[in-house]
Order: sequence, then C-alpha cells, then structure tokens
Amino acid sequence: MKCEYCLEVKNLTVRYGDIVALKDVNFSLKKGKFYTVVGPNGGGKSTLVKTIVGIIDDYDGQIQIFGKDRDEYLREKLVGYVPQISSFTKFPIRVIDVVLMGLFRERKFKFKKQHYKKALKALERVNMEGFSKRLIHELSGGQRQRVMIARAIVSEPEILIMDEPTVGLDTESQRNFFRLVRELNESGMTVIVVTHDVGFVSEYSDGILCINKRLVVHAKDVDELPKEFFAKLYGYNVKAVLHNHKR
Amino acid sequence: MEIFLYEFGILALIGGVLSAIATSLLGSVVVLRKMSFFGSGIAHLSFIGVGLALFFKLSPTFVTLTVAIAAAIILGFLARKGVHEDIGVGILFSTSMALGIILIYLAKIDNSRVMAYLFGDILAINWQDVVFSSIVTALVILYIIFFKDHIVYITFDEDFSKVLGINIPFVYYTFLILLAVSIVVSMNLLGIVLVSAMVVVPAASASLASRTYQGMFKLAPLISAFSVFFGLILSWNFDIPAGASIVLVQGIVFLFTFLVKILSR
Ligand SMILES: Nc1ncnc2c1ncn2[C@@H]1O[C@H](COP(=O)(O)OP(=O)(O)O)[C@@H](O)[C@H]1O
Ligand SMILES: [Mg+2]
Repeated sequence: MKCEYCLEVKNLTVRYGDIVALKDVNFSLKKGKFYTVVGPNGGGKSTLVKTIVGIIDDYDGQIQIFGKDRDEYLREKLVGYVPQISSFTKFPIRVIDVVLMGLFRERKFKFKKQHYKKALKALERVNMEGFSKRLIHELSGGQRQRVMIARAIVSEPEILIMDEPTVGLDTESQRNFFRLVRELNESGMTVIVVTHDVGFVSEYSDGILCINKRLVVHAKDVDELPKEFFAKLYGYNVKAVLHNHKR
Repeated sequence: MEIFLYEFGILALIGGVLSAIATSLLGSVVVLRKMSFFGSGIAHLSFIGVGLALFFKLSPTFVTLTVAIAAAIILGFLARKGVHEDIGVGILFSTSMALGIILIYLAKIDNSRVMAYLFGDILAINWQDVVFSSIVTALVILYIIFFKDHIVYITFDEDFSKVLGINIPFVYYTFLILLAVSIVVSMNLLGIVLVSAMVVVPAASASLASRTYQGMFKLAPLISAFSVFFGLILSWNFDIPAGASIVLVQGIVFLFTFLVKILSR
C-alpha cells in the first residue's frame, strides 16, 4: 500500500466560539495498530474524535484516512464510531434496527435482506446474536456497548474509534469489552480508544496519544512516557497502577 | 351509520380520516421526540393568524397557514436550543390567543364564525377542503415513507445521524412545516381547542400498544381513522358535537390501551 499511515491529522484546530478545544494537533497513525488516547477532562479528546468521525463540521486543518479527505472517507464508511454509553431514555428501537443504522449509507431506499444478514453477522461477531429482537434499553450497559460496536463495524470500516466506551461498566464487562476490541484489532482493524482505564489496554496498546488542547505526547508505550506524566495529568501517579495491571 | 347516507357525512368522514392519517403519522414523531406541547403551541399561535385574517379581511386559511408555519419554525428552533415546555412558552401561547380574540372582536365578526375556529365544524367541510386535505395527507405519507428512519435516527441518536451524513435541518424543519400544515387543516375540522388531541392522543395509544417505532407508525393512523369513524357515528346518534365526539373516542381508546398495558404486566 502506498500510504504507510492510515490516519493523518495535520494542524487540526477546533473552536467552540471563543474556546479553543484543540490547537494545531498533528499526528499520524499506522494501519492495524491499537492506539489509546488519554488526557485530562476537558482536554479535547471527545472533540478530536467527533471531528474525525464527522459530528463536528467546523474545524481548521486536514484529516485524511488513506489519503482521502473527510467527506470522501465518511462516504466510503472508512471509520466506525462507538460513542460514550448514553443512558438512552426508553426508545422503542430494536437491537437489529440499531445495528442497521450502520448500513444506512449503503441502502438505496429501504433495508433489504442482505442488510439484515450483515447486521446479524455483526451481532454474532460481538456475541449478541440472540438479542436482535430485544429493545435497546432492555439491555445492560455492557451488552448495549457491544451492540454499539456491532453498529460501528457492520459496514466493515478500516478504523474503529471509541470515546470512553466503558465508562460506567463494571470491571468484568470492561474486561470483556476490551477483549472483544482486541479481537477486532487482531483481525486487522485499526483501533483508537479514548479511555481513562489505561490499565485494561496497556497490554495491547501500540501507542498512546495524550491530548490536552495540544497533542502532548505520542508515545509508543506506557513505559516511554515521562515519569511525572500521569501524575501531572491526573493528579496522582497512575503509572504505578499500570504496572501492577500488566503483570 | 345513517350519517354516512348524507353527503356532508361522507365528506366529514373522508376529510376526517385524511387529516387523522396526517396528524397521527406526524404525531408519532411528536410522541417519540417528546414534544407534545408543539401541537397545542402551533394551534394557539395560529389563532393570531385567524384574528389577523378576519381583521384585515384576508383569506383565513392562507394567513393561518403562514402564521402556523412561522410558529413551527420558531418553536422548533427554540426546542433545538433547549428551550422546552416552560413557563415562557405557556405565556406566549395564552398571549397569542388573547391577541387573536381581541383582533376578532375588533373585526366585529359574528360569534358563530369565531366558534367555528375554536371548536371546528367537521360537518361543514366541502369538496375543496377534502382536496386540500388529500394533498397534505399525500405529502405527509410520502415524507414518512422516505424519511421515517431519518427522523427516528435524529431523535434516537443525533450524533450518529451526523456520522451517517443525514441532513438534519432539512429532515427536521420539513417535519415541522408539514406538522404545521396538517394542524391547520385539522383545525378546520376540530378547532383550535381540540386539534392537539388529534396529534398526540392516537400516537400515544399506538406507542403504548406497539413495541417498536415501526409498529407505532402503522398503528397510530389506524387508531386515529377508527376514532373519526366512531366519533361521527356517536355524534349523529346522540346529537352531540362531532369534533368533541372524535376526541372523546380517541381518549377512550387511550384509556383502554393504558389499562390493558397495566393489567397485562
Ligand atoms: N458543545 C460545546 N460547546 C462549547 N464548548 C464545548 C463543547 N463541547 C466541549 N466544549 C469544551 O471544549 C473543551 C474540550 O472538551 P471535550 O472535547 O469534551 O474534552 P474531553 O473529551 O477530553 O473531556 C472543554 O473545555 C469543553 O468545555
Ligand atoms: Mg470526552
């Protein structure tokens, strides 16, 4: 392949009115790797993710996936997005219909048999095949996030981006969730996950981006991060915790 | 059933069912989006339109339509900015009613015409009204066929619908404009006081009775059309106002679905 990098972000600046959420952020990520994004609350992590996946339209700079500009890579469904767990108020939508949303760009007028087949396959990949007819709010948080992954990967994107996908899940569900993400990554999908639970992903993470308005560090490994880094970031030393997790 | 032997009965039935279909389909979206204050809001604000039209001797349908569409767009804009069913909107509603009433009083219109706007007169509709309703209902059905998933996605997960490239303002404001037009059409039949029932009540019954949003869109028009049919029969047999009878039937259906839902738990 011509491009060594699958995602390239150049001079990205995003403002909300007078607030500058991201300033001149630059980085390039390699295909098939597993990246973690960390940073303090309000540091602009969600802003970065939302700009990459097409939710925020107002930005300066350039974002490319395999050399394609944003409109094009969105049209070609090169990126799958998993949002933070939302406490969906009761909404009468079935799991299968939620997954079908991910195929919306593929359909002409309505969903056909082949779309339903794909959606069911995606549910199988996240071990939720038995739940297709359930309503989304009838599921537990962990199950719901699996459905969100199914919705993100049903269109077979190159990159899977997740914004704090496990906040509010219990430890067991978090572990299962990241195991699943790891499997997807091993099957070739590039993964970018915003998370504070660095402990869970430190064993597979190929690189860490630290965002605090600007890109602070782009490290290969937790070990590479400057010692005081996490302490400064979160007010306490997380690095020690990470090492305990690694075993 | 005797009522349907007369032309006015048939016209009332056709016009009523047409507007029942339009309002309940859009009403399903209203219920899903939890914006039920909209129906009554648009109706109340439109009353300024009635007042202006009568005062300046313009076509009431045209002026009311214009005011209703403007009201829908303004209320829709406020709702997207997070202003909801609050005191401010309530004050706006009653003030606009008052303004309408004053304009009508100053226009020195005889009371029966004013009553027709407040309470509607489904038995007085003519073929022209029916043609107008057909066009509006056809547009609403087309909208629902083409954009049902779009508006549902926007309601359920707005961020993700942006990821999907859905043109949110287009889908949302088209919905609001159709809602305003349907409300004005039904206002001629049921009047300002009862029209919001037509939007919300059948759709609310449908949301109780069906598990999925797809089911809602099928059930709501059935319930609403059924209510018009039985409401007209009820009104004829007991010699009571037609619009009120229709809304009464809708209310009974809602109560019934509600009880069945509670008891079946
Ligand atoms: N919709 C918004 N309007 C105005 N300011 C916002 C909005 N969303 C985020 N911000 C601000 O932008 C900054 C970055 O926020 P965010 O990207 O959510 O950070 P993070 O996800 O890292 O916690 C914060 O200062 C936040 O207050
Ligand atoms: Mg965030």
